Amino acid sequence: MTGRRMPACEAPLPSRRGALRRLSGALAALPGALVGGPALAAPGSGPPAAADLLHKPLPSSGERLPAVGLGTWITFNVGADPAARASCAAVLHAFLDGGGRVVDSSPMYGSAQAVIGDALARYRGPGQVYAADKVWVSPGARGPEQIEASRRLWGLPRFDLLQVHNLLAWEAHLPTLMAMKSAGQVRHVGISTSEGRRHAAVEAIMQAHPVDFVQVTYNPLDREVEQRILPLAAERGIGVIVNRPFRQGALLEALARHPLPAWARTELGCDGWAQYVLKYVVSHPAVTCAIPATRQVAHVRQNLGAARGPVPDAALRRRMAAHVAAL
Amino acid sequence: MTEWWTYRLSDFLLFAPDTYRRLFELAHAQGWPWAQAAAAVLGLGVGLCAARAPAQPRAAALGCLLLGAAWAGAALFLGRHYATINWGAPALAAAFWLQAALLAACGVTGLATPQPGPPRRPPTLRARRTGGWLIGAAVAGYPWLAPLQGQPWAQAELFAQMPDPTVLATLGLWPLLRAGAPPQGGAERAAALLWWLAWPIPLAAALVAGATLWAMGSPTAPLLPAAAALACWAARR
Repeated sequence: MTGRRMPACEAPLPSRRGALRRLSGALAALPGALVGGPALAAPGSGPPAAADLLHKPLPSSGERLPAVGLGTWITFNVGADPAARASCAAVLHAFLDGGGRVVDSSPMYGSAQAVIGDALARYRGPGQVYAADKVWVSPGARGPEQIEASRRLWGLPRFDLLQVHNLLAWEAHLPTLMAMKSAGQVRHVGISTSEGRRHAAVEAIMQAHPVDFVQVTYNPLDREVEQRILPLAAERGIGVIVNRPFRQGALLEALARHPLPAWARTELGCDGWAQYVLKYVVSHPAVTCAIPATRQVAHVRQNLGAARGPVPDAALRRRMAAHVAAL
Repeated sequence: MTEWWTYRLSDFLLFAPDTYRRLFELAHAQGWPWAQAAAAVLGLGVGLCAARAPAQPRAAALGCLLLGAAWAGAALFLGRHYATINWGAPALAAAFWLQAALLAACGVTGLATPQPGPPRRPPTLRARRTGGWLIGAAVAGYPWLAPLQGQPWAQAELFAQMPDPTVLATLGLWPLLRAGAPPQGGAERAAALLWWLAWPIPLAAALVAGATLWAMGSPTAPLLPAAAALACWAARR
């Protein structure tokens, strides 16, 4: 992997960093060979900035996606405010220009879908969005109507991914989404939950249905999914999208009271806690991408930076989690 | 919704606090200057009516009509602005329109009652003082909350334009309008019924506002629930 930003005065590489580099090189030589594992090859298209981003394969199709996406919960729900819409557009454009692709939203997120659609309509850069949305309505018979309304708001011919939001009426929605996938009206199908809710039902669906994605909450403190859902996703060839990596900002606020450990800078290339948390999340072999939300261009660039540089191995991941838990 | 016990109040907040406050700024910019002028006139009118309501039933009726207009103004804000960031706002706006209609009915019923009406026990001193303070706080005090919290004046909440000060003024007027004696004729019975019917929506709106502000971490969150409790206490005979 290339492109790691390094301060000019940084000390020579310690041995662990050398090992990480060797690990990165070895993984890069195995594109898609490991189910759910990090594959570090650059994509074939998209903006130049995408070349050095960590891409991970979606197990069901082999398609590679950048490991850092963009969530829109709260941050993109700005209504008709022209100034706030311009800020959101700047964030989305910076994200796409920076090589990001996965943008996730939901009809539950107020005006977020319309704000995304507005920003995409104004985008003239080389980036390519991977449009991930959700269906969130009951009864399930109203699903197609809601999906069509969402598609119009995004202004796209079709979604790349449709997920059943919080498993609401999933028994009705999942057959609808599968039929849409068969008809070529959506590329991938998934389910979502957050903050550890309904994990038993999520597992049951993962076992019984050929979903492409599952979306769950995961970060160095909320690690329940490491026990069953992430291993199951790897076993079943299901991609994983991680929501709330920063606990909606609360985790970063808490971490900001502590200095970033020096080893996180030297061995991982982190420039702050946001990259530390994101590197921890996306380095799990089963995780496809994380979708942190922000309304600041500087933050979206910093988040994308987490998909550059060394990828922590299992030992370093344990150290990262232990360090955060001890604070 | 399953596992409902795992949800926090903040899980239902769809927007950031600065997005919420920008709605006031946008509404002021769109309505300037006529909306602000109308709000000032309505606020002054409700204040004068409240001052005269204990002695003059027609002033009380006029106060209800003005308050109904204020609720219509707040309903417009909910439907035009708040609905852009909260899919629950249209239901809230419908409740505000219903309240506006109930207040208008109260006003019309009061004006239709032959004068002088039957002997009327005046509101208690407690009701007059509490009502006066709440109305004054709603009309003259509420706009100061924005600058006191370090926000621009453009984000000030005005009575008759924004929901919270409108609810607060209603909570102040209501104890003043409670009939002192058991209703005698048909018009009085209708007025008494309307008084009770027009009570739940402001109380519920105060709780919703308090919960929303609490979820946003606003220090003003307890204001409206506390005012609702105060108004209930003041309305007791």
